[in-house]
Amino acid sequence: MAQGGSLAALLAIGGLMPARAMSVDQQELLFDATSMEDAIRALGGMPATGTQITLSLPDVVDDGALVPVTVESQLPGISEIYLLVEANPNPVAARFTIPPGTEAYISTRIKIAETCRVFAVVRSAAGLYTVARRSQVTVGGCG
Amino acid sequence: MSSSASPAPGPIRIRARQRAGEGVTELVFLMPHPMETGLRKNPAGGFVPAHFISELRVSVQGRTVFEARLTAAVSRDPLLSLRFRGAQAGDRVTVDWLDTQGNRRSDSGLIV
Repeated sequence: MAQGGSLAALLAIGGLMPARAMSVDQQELLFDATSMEDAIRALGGMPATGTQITLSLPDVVDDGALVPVTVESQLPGISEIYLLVEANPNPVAARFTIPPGTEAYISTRIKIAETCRVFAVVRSAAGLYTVARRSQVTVGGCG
Repeated sequence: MSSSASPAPGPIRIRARQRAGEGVTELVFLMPHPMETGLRKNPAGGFVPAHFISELRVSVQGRTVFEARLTAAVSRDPLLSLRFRGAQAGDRVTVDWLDTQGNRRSDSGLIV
């Protein structure tokens, strides 16, 4: 889609971000973001691509209103997990806060407006990492 | 698909099970809630107002083990599963949520 070019540009200049929590203002920017670019900026920059993150969701879904998604990671010191849906009116779908003693594992169900990529972003002791998967949606889930 | 009227939120259904010998508790909970996006049309041609759970917290014997900020992009009747350590069978798990209309709900269950 049209956003691909600028996302690639962000990727090119992006680096590891500090593993600190964000301010209230940053949070509002994040959840109010209407594009992936704005959401990534509010997160603190483009996350590195993570190999130790597993994002599971169906390759093809009939009903975009009910898409099962599971995120799991073995990265040390994970404090937050985010789910972002590229094509939704507001890409940030949820933030999960993981205190010490709780595993970096979450399974839930989300809405996907149309065929697009879904991103899991984790905030670990070493910074932000992400993994993405494309899901093909037959009937969108935001109406 | 669904009718224009949103069902009222209901009691949280909680299932928490201690995994034998691993010290890990598996928690699955379902929060009946319409999770309206505000983008859905009603028969009169207007929009059904946005109404969704925005904040949630899970605690065990008073200790917070999980928090989340949700949006309307989480499916209707949010179902979540997670895993944590440091609890045992018989401990009480409590789930609290707050939605965008200021409603709150708190329910609990025992780890088996």
